[in-house]
Formats: sequence, structure tokens, C-alpha cells
Amino acid sequence: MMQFTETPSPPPQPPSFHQSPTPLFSSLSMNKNQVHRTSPWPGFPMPKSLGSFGDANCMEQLLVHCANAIETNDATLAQQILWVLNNIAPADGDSNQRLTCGFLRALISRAAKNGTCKMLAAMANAQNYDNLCNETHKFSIIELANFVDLTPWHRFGFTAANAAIIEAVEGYSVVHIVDLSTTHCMQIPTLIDAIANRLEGPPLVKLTVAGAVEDAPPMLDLSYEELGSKLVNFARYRNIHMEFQVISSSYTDGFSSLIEQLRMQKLMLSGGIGEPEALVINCHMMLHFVPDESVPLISDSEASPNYPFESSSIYSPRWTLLKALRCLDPNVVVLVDEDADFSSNNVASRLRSAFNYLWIPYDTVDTFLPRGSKQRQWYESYIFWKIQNVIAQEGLQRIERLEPKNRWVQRMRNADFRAIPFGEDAVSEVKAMLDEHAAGWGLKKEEDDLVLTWKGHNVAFATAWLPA
Amino acid sequence: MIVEPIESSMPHGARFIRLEFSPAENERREKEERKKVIVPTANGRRAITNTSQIPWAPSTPPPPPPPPPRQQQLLLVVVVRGLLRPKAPAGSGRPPRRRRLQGPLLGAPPRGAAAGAPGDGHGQLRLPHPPPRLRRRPLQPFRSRLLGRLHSLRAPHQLLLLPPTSGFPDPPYPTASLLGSGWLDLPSCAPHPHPHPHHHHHQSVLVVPQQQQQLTVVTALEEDPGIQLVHALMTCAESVERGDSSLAASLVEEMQALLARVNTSCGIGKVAGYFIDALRHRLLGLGSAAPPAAASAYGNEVLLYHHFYEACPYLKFAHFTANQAILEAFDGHDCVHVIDFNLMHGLQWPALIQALALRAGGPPMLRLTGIGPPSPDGRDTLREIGLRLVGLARSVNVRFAFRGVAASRLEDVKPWMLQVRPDEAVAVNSILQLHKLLGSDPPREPPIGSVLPWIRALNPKIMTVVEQEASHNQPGFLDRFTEALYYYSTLFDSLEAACPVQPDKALAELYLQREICDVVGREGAARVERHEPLDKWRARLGRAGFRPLHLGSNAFKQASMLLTLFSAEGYSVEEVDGCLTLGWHSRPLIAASAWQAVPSVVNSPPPPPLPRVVINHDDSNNQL
Repeated sequence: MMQFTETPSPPPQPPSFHQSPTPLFSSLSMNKNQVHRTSPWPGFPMPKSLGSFGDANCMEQLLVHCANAIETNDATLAQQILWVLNNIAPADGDSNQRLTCGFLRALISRAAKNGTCKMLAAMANAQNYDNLCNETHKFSIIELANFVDLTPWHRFGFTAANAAIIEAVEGYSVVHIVDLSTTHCMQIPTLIDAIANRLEGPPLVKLTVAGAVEDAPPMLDLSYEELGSKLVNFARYRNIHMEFQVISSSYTDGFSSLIEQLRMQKLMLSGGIGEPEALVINCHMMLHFVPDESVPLISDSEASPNYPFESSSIYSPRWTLLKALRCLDPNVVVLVDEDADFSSNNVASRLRSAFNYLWIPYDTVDTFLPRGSKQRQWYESYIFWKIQNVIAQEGLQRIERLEPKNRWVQRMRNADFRAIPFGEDAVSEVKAMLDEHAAGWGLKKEEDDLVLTWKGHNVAFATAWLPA
Repeated sequence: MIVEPIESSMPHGARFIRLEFSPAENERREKEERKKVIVPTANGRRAITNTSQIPWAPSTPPPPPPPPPRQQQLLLVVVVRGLLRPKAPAGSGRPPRRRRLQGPLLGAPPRGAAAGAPGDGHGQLRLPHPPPRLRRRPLQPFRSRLLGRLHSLRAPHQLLLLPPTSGFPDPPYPTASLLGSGWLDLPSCAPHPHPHPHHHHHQSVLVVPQQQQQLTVVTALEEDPGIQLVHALMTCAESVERGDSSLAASLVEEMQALLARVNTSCGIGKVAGYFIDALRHRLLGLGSAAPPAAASAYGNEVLLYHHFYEACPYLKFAHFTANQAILEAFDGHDCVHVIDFNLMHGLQWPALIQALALRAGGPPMLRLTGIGPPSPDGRDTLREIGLRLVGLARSVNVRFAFRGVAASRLEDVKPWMLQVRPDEAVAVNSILQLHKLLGSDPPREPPIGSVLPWIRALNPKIMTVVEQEASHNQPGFLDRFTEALYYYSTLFDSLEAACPVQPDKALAELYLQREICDVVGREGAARVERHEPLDKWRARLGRAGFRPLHLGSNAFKQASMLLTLFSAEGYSVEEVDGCLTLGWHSRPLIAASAWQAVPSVVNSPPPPPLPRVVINHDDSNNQL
């Protein structure tokens, strides 16, 4: 018996491939409710939406399905999607492919952690990933300075914060800057330059940093003590006397020992010991490392999003830190951070957020770094570190817990701070800085805050706060 | 008693099959033979004991021994056939090219040791001369009890050398070895299968090499019914091969009783159960009947296939390895056509469609021709699957057309039905299908001889072939049975380790049970599971005008990675000359390869027609 089954071709498709990255975001809002969708090929069923937004969106969908398959231990589906992704996301492809490749690798290590000790074997077998495994690179100071200057990613925050700080410490002869930043005081030299030039003459600058024990990139190849002495030397050349102190402190507990130290110093000052000083808290893309309410307070090994912790009784180091900062009565708090939401306990949901945010650094890199350069390798491995942390880590190890600007604003208000607007100087300085970079960068003013954008998408925000 | 002719390819084997004994005589002979613990042969160089017999596999090809006295041949056959099964690589003399070395303990028989070397020792002892030195190898602690047993059964020299206290995982069981010039060294000195497995107290016979023609008998208690089962299975298979179906039938009943004493939910008990069923099936004369046709059978097969697919990585490995090769072969082609020899659920294709959708340079126009059996219930299953694939392709913007070709047997498909166009790159995909073309009832030629030429005439850009890595197409029943017992024991072992508690498992096992039933229980055209190892396929496809395509390190890395992530430890992917195998603890169980049609040169004579003996060499002698 012979039967033939013809199934006709589908009607011609609208051309929807190879679009600019814009459609990435067009789907962001509508994707929010699709996190728990069933597998893409149930009896191989694929959701209708898949593929209708172009390659990038297709890849995002595949990654989400893959994450869900891994979470539900659906090995068959996970294997199939990983196979597809392996073939469509070369590590040396275009920006979307490299982005997808980063997520793919992160999912592989997540899957490996779900199993036994398969991690190393799996990564060893993963193809083409060798060149991405350099997140341990330790920068020299010069390298790091150049690295940070490549893009407005960090410079935006530096420039805006410095302008706000200069304004806030006007008239003070002693300025105490507490620098909570991931970039190892790279902001300070320009701040010293600016302070040295102020009309009333340079103040005494005290610089306090938290010597974090944890390693998060970018990493520096010298100790904070060495870094401090270099900064002190630099300040001396600008005729500024600078005192530098490192206080061993960890973001894991909300910098509690740093806060304790600052409180003691404040007590001594208010007791008349020492000169009155302007206290500046500069938070540059580091506060999101501090655990929020969603991190269970158990040891790393037991950390799991399913830990049955009463949400009402949660202790949040993030909340505690902001309250403690408020109690220090600072002259200004500058909070700069990346404007995205990586706080969900659902990995697929985080994956969507991260995919729809971290395309930006991949997209921008072509504007300032040639392919194959060492710096580009460092830069991309830095992004990959973020992806890896968001996707493959849980509990206290997952430190990339970004929150969007509006949530930080709410937190600051709840901690009894009030926002202060950035001045015209700040705006014009940021604009001047952006002029040095590619055309896609932009500046938005939202209420009192400044927002850095790339092709219209929010990248980072800068806010300044006074005790209410 | 009249022994019915059974399939056997012993070239000189008729004498075993024509033996006719009355039951009384049979019993008498058995008793007599049981008395002879040691039977020195005429030249005094070998001896036989009737203690339990152990199948095993020497890793070196033994040279032919001097012929034993005819009178002893029946007994010798019991000892030798199958138990001394592994032979020199057939004909080719090619050294094994496998990347990983296999010790005798882990060792499958050498690839290419498949049946078919003409006259290779049927009914003869083949012994190395001079014998290789005995080597002691450590036992592998990670191996399961079941595999450990089977392996040790296949490597008695180890068993002989290790004292009972040396950590051998099983209770000491009866062994026997033979004495003579260099006899001890011979891997081929297998003990005798005990015809009465309910005798639990056996004597173990160990050989002391210094004492020529003398035996030191070491007694040991044999209590393990699992071991007895294996011995009984081998004896039963031997009697089937010999044509002694009444002995076989009684053994089946004894084994059934023995089964009650072992755990049949796992390990040897479970495997033995399936083999006993298959033997009974065969003895009941159902073997020559065509497989049960009709509606429920096909529906069942699809269901079982699906569960087997889910329960273990073999089919998944087949799919993504084949897909990888197809995807790479389609690179740069705008019109591509996949011909799937067995569509089933179409499970292989969503991933390929998705990958094509997102490939660099945009997706091609994809045509898929799915071949499958006609739906017995009037539903057009092929069309239903095709429609789902169409929906999928549309959702990812791949231009796609599906065509179903319903044919009960692959050989019924004719090339014109596939509507291959000259401008398209064709991929022929055969997952566990080609071996079904190897059998036929004489005088018909096996269909493979006509199918391969038309595949080649389609001039496919690639043909992906996945086949079981096993020699289940051997003419001799005992050889086939032993190989199958070993192969499926390994497979079940991997299933048990891979999915400790899974609802799929029982159904996945049923899928394998059907294969066992086919390999062991059927003969002639009804037997379709004629698995052959990679070397044989390589030779056959090479002769048919295909040249191998290297599957590439990409496929290897990827298969390893996906297995590492999602499968139990113990699976291993190996690359052998550009082909990939997936195995369980270094025993390859399934092999994937890719092929390309060698273009026919214009004005040159066409390739010589494949001689029948080459196409299905093994079966040419197969039928009595």
C-alpha cells in the first residue's frame, strides 16, 4: 500500500530577519507574562510568537525555553535546544550571537550544577568557549583606567557624581568620601582634579574604601594599600592632602563593619574630636551586590530559591545599609547603578531581563574596540561574568541583583532620603563626555535624575540624595 | 525424538542437527557425560568437564586447533560454540582502530569479529598457538553486578587466576580449565555449561599448569541462581542450535523455575526473563511467523519508541548527531530536502528546522519526505505529523513542505516517490533502519542490494546512518544469542543506571524486549533486527558506492557535552574513524556515521553489481 501525504508550503513570510536590535525591546513588556510557558515543542509545538520578531527574539525565546527545560529537568527538550543554540550562537558571531552564546554557556553551567559534579566535564566539552574564559584577568591601574574610559558605561556615573559631589561639599575644608564602587577608585582622580581647582582652595580629602574580600570583576593586580598610596601621591601633585583608609568589609552583610567604623568616627566628630567634615557616600554600581530581601539567610551551600523563608520576617542587608547610611547624616549620597531588573527568583524571568539589557554592551563594543583585541576580550568576559552570575548562580553567590531605577528611588525614599536634582553643570559635563563617544549614546533627564541611554534604551542612572 | 531443523549456518553443521535421540537415550547419554568430569581427548591436550560452563571472549584470535575426536564433538560444541565465540576479525585482518582500548574484561568482541568469515571455526576449537601470556587485570569496581558477571563469564582466565578472596564480586562459581601444553593460558578454555542448573553444588576445577594432564580440583559452592540462569541460557541456546528442541524446551521450563529465585525486576533476572521468553517464543514455532501486523502493533511500536526515546540517550544521540551532519552538509544550500526513512513522531526535525531558521545566511527552502508505515486505523498519521512540522516551520519562518510516503517496508519505496529535484541538496536519514533490509527468504536477495543503489542514484549530499553496534545477523544461532545476551545486558544495565525511577522505563524495556524477541525468536524473513557492527556497514556502504564523511570534532564535543549534562555517568561517546559511537562503560552500543554518494563517472562502467554473497554474506548459508 502506498500513500502520499502532501503538506503545502506556508504562505510567503513577511521579511523579518536581520533587523536592528530595536525589536528586542519591543517585546520586553509583552514577554513578562510568558515566563512559565510550556515547552516549545510539546509534541513539538512551538509557540506562535517564536520567530516573529527576528533572530534576536528567537534566540531569547530558545534560551528561555532552555532555562525552563533545565529547571523542570526536561532533559530531552533541554538537549534539543542546547543543540540548536550550539549551532546558531558561535562565540565569534555577531553581537546577538555572542550574547546568546554567553547565555548558552551560563545555562550549561547551570545545568551542570543541577547535576552532580559535571561542571568541569561539561565545560571542557563545550565548544569554542576557550576565549571567553578570561574573567580572572587582573588589570594594572593603567589598563583599568583605559578600560573604564573606553565607554560611557562607567564614565557617565563618574562625571555626574563628581559634579554633584563638588556642589555638595562647597565650603567644607574637610571632605570625607566613602567610595563604594566596583571600579577601584577610578573615579577619584578626576574628582581630585575638580576639587583642586575649586575657588576656595582645596580641602583635606579623606577617602575611605571598603576592601571587599570577594572577587568581582574588574579585578586589580595590586592591593588597596598600594592603590591608596598611588592616589595619595596623585593628590599631592594637585596640592591636596589626602588620607586614605581601607576598611575590610563585605557587601554580603551590607558593609556592616564599614558602617560601624563610620558611626564611631561620626560620634567622635560630634563629640568635638576632629574638624567638622562633609560626608560623601559615593555608590557606584556596587549597592546591587548587597543582598536584598530575596536572598535567604542561609549558608551558600544550602542557598536555594525555594528556601521556605517567611518573606515578612526577611532581613535585608540592602535595606539595613540604606538606613545605616541615613543615620550617618551624609552631606550627599550619590547612587549610580545599571538600570535593569535582575532581582527575580525565577531564572527564566531573569534571563529575559538580562538578555534585554546585556545586548547593549555587546552592541556597543563594535564602536570602540576592534575584533580580536585583548581589551575586547576583557570587556566581553566582563559581560559574560555578569551573565554567568545572573543565570548560573544562586543564593549569596548571585550578586548581580540589579534593580531598576524606580525601585532604588523607592528604597531611598523609604530610608528617609530626598532626591536632589543634578545641576546644569552636571548635565553639560555629561553631555561633553558623551560627545567623545559613539553617536548611539544619549542622556535623558528624568525628574531629578540622569539616565544614560544607548539607542534610546536605558543603560544606567545617576541619582543624588540628601537626608530628608 | 525428532529434532526439527533450525536455522544454523554451521558449514559442516548438519551432523549436529541430524542427531536424533530417543528421550531415554538422551537421558542416558547425558548421565554418561555427566560422569565424565574430565574427558581427555585423543591427543591428550585438552579436557572437558561437565561442570558449569562459562562463555567468554578471548581478545586474541586463536588459531585452529587440531580436530577433536568425532565422538566428542557434540560435547565440544557445547563447550565451544558461542562460548569461544570471538574470532579473528573477519577476513580483513585490519587492526582495531578504536580510540579507546578495551581490556578483555571490558571487551566486546573485536569489531568486525562478526560472523561470516567462511569456515571460521564452526564446531572447532580455535586456540592461540603459542598461547598468549596470562595477564591479571584488576576488576572494575564501578561495574554493575550484572555486567561484572557477564564480563567475567567472558573472561574466564581471570576467573581462574583470581582466588576467591581476591575481591571478585560474585560468589565463586564453578570453573573448569583444561590442562595441556599451554592450556591454562588459553582464553578459550571455557568451562562446560551445566545442563542441570538446579544442581547447586558444583565442583570448581582449577588448573595447575605445572602438572601436565592432571587436574587439581577445587571445590566451591555454587549457589547463585543468576549465574545458573546464564549457564542455562547458554545451554539452551546451544541445544536450540543443535536442534534439540525438547532439551531446549525442558531447559526453558527449568529456567522459568529458576527465575522465581532471582530478582526479576533488575539485573540478570530481568534480562534472562526476556531471553527465556524469546526462546520460548521460538520453540513454540512462532519464530517463522511474520511479526504481528495491524493496528495495535504499529500504535504500540510508536508508543514504545517514544518511551525508549525518553528513557535513555541512544535515540537522542542518534538524532542530534545526524542533525549535526545534515546541518553542516546543508551549509550554503538554498533548497534542501531531507528524506527520513522512518518518520515516527518526527522528533528529530524540530531542532533541525529551528537551527536552519537561525543559521547564518538565512533559512533555506526545506522539503521533508517522511517515510512510515501506513496507518492501519485509517488516520493519516504521516499527514498529522507533517502538519505539525509545517506549523513549526511557519512559526520560525522557514519555507517548508512535507510529503509523507506510506510504505510498510522500506524496500517498497521507489525513488520516483521521493520527488527529488535536481537543484536541491538531499539528505537521506536512516536511524536504525538499514539493518531491516538485510534479511529475506531465499531465493530472494536481501532488499539492501536494491535499496542502496537507488539511494546512491539520488546523489544525496549526505546520508546519515545510525545502527546498533552489534552482531545480531550472525548465521549461527548460538553466536547470535551470546552476542545478543551480552549486548542487551549492557543496554539494560545502562537503562537501570540511567533512570532509577522512571515511569518510562518499563515501556522502554518493552521496546528492547521486542528486539530481543526478534533477534532470538525469529528466523528468515521474519527476523528484521539484523544488527551489524560499524565495520560491516563501512564495508557494505563502501562497496555500494558511498564514501564516508567525517562527523567532525564538533559533533563529538557536542554529543559529549549534552551527554555529560543530562545523562547518568557511564555513557561514553567515542570517535572511530570519523564515526561516533555511544556506549555504556566503553562498550559501544550504537554507532552514527555519515556518507556521501561517490558520483558516478560518466563514460566509465557502472560499479559492478553487488554479489549476493557480499550483500548478505551471512544469510547465504543461513537457511537449511
